[in-house]
Amino acid sequence: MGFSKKRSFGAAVVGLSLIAAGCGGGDDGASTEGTVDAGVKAGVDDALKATTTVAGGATTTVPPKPTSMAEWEVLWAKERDAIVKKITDSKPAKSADGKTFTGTNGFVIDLSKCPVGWTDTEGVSDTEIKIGHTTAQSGTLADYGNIARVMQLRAENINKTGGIKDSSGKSRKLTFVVKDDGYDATRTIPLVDELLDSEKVFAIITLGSPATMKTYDKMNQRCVPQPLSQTGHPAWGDPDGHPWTTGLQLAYNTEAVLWGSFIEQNIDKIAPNNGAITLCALVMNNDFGKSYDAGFKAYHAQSALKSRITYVTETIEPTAPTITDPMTTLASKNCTIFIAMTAGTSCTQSIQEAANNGMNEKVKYRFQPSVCGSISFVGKDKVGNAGANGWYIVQGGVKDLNSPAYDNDPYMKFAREELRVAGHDYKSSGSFGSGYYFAWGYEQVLRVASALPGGLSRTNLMNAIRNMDMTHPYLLDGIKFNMNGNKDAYLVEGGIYQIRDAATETWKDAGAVIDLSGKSKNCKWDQSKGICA
Amino acid sequence: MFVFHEGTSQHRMYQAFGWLLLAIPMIIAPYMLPSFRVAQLAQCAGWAVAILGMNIAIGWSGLLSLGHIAFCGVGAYTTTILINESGWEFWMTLPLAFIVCFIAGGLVGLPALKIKGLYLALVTFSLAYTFPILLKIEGGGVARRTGGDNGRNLDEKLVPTEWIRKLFFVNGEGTDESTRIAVYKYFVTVAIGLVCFLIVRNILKSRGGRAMIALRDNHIGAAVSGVPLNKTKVLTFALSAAIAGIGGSLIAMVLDSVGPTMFDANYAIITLMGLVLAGVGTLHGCWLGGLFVVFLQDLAPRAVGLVPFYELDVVYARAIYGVMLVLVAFFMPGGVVSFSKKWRARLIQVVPKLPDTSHLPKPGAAVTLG
Repeated sequence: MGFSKKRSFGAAVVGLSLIAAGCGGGDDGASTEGTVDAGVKAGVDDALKATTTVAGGATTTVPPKPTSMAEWEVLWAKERDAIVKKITDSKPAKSADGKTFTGTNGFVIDLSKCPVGWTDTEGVSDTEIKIGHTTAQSGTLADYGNIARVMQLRAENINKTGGIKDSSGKSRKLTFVVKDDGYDATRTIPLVDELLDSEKVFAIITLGSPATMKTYDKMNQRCVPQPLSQTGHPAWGDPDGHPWTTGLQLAYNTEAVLWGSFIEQNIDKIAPNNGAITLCALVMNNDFGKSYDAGFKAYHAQSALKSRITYVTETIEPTAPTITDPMTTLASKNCTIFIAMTAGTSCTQSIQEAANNGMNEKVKYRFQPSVCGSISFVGKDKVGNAGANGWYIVQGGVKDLNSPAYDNDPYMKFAREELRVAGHDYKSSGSFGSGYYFAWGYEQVLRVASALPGGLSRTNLMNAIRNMDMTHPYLLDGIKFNMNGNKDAYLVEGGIYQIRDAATETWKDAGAVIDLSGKSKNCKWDQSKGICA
Repeated sequence: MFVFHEGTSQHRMYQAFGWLLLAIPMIIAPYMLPSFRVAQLAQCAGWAVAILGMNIAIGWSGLLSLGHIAFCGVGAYTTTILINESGWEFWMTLPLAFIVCFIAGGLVGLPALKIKGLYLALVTFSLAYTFPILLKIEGGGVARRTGGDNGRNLDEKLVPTEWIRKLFFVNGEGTDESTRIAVYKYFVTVAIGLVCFLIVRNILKSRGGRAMIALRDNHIGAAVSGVPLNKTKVLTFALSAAIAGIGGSLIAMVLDSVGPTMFDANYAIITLMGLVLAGVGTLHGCWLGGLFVVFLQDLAPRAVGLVPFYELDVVYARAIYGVMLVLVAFFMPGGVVSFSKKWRARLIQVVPKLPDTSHLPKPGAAVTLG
């Protein structure tokens, strides 16, 4: 481990000096590139070098894997108790004048600017917890609305089995007030106002980066929790500037760094004797693709192998019906490596195009992003028998509800059964799985916050989220679901390199799980520069 | 049936009554409604100004443009960037938004000289389609300034000053700060909106306005009567773009943010629908159009719960939205304004004042020759 620490330190120094260098030059072109998180890079490097299944963690113990839902419940109860104990021992408290909340592990909320009339328990009655949610139930991205469906289904079943128990002995039922914004942030803003001012909800969950970005200043000014937002933008890791907002999933830019490390480690295999490679990327012109691209550019800029890697990109609009043109252009560039920085239908299309334009044969490594992992994008019925064979992916640390690989997973069985009883076919949408991914998070943070001294309150909820440390049944074994006060502001940081095996229709592990927990820096998003400040 | 003779005191009373009927709810509503509704009403006023701009081109000049949403966006982004990057105040950005959009409109208006009717609609629609893409260009720091896909939040929030608080919130204990800001923004947008309406109304009654309408009704006739076709077309386009830009600035201010989805092809259609449903070529129609843009979308998902005997899925909200549109189009052909005019005509008749003929020779009077 001494070796590993030295390496991390060295990488951190290199990284920091590069960050400093990056900050110096501030012209338009360079400023959008951002900087690479030194901790993340070091973590990935360690993981790739390490022989253990969990990266760089002396303290990590792989928990025994539960084989039934009953065992899971026992494990979660134990983990919740541990968090409650940790928080209780730290004696979180509001200052005498009520202006500051001092939480656990350095998490502090300034309550002095909260609006007059603000209360810590608005939206929570003796019998009910009311949480607002804006999502897309109509429009082209209406499939995301299935996440809300699962949330409501989970709430229903939690309420049937006793609801959320409070430390004061009360038991409350959970209600989600769902509003449709059609993934149009113009409509999200008044809906959030409505949830705040008329519905008087306890917290609001938003879907999508644009909607979250446009409301998170307001939510923080109003001192209302915006927990576990349904977006992978890095901006949600800002406990100092935006203590009331958090994300959940792996940040898009971190995923790009995972690819960068993979390439650095394998470059000598592809291009021996200091040979050069061309790395091609298809970038979707939206928040997702741009964060990914910026993350990779930053990685490239600081890489020691920069001179050996040529980075070529083609851009597509999210609304483009086909991607034939940019893929044909890329096919002519003699790419050594191809990364699809796209989502949705384009996942399937990029695989089909590469099979047709010869890239499958010419390109040594082909990467799909984590969001394309679902069988609903890369299944045989979509891309043909051999289509996705040999494609790499870095899973965002999550399992796939739709994949037969998880037929025996107790949590997947539970989720599929719950959906079936409610009259939904789990295979009909990729968003049902995301629904369980998020809904489990909401349930657990509410249970922990309720069990804290003083019971469920807004400050307790945020303190609970910022000190979570549990085993998420939808995450791959070895990926943690944790935060650490002000030091670690991301719940899920990690993934695994996998390769597609078309014969069995599964992703086969190509290396160990990389857990980067606690390694990404907090991100104070600078809107005028488009990078973490 | 009430009959009023134009110019009599009864007629003036009737007119004053009509305006009061309109003004009183407009003044009282923000104090009665929850703050999010007030914010929506303010947004309506912003869209009303945008639709007013569209109406100048489409309604009064017959230039079928579907690209005005882009000018709206230019106005909104001009305001946002000036506030965020240059530290301007909201008030100061409005004239510049007007000028920028006026120039942009003039440039886009040039092809309108050659292209007519549906072809012009197609060409301008491509503008609506490309505008959100242009915002995301990385070169020249465009995406950095516009915020790209996520858009930007405005740094300056319009907050009422001390004397305004005293004037508008006499007993302000009952309302919280967010409601006060919403009410304040509502009055600001409505006031600016009214100024725009007065300007447009006066232009329409002027020589230039008559030229625009002549252009729409018969451009050969207009040319024969001495209307400079090219100049009028380009200026009309520029003016309508500028007014739409002011609408965009107002919307950005009300929402405290801008983003590419606010000014895309989808909204080009929605605003056009608002314009058509409310009434093309009418001034009052624009206000109604603003209400349509905001509230039809907002109410459709809520209407799902109102369907009796059946638990309708919210996915069908769009279908209900469609049914609402069909119903309006079916029962109110020509838009709401012409519909209400038709009904008003059954109840109230205004007899127009006879033209003053005193300076003309009386018919039948002896004409002395020589």
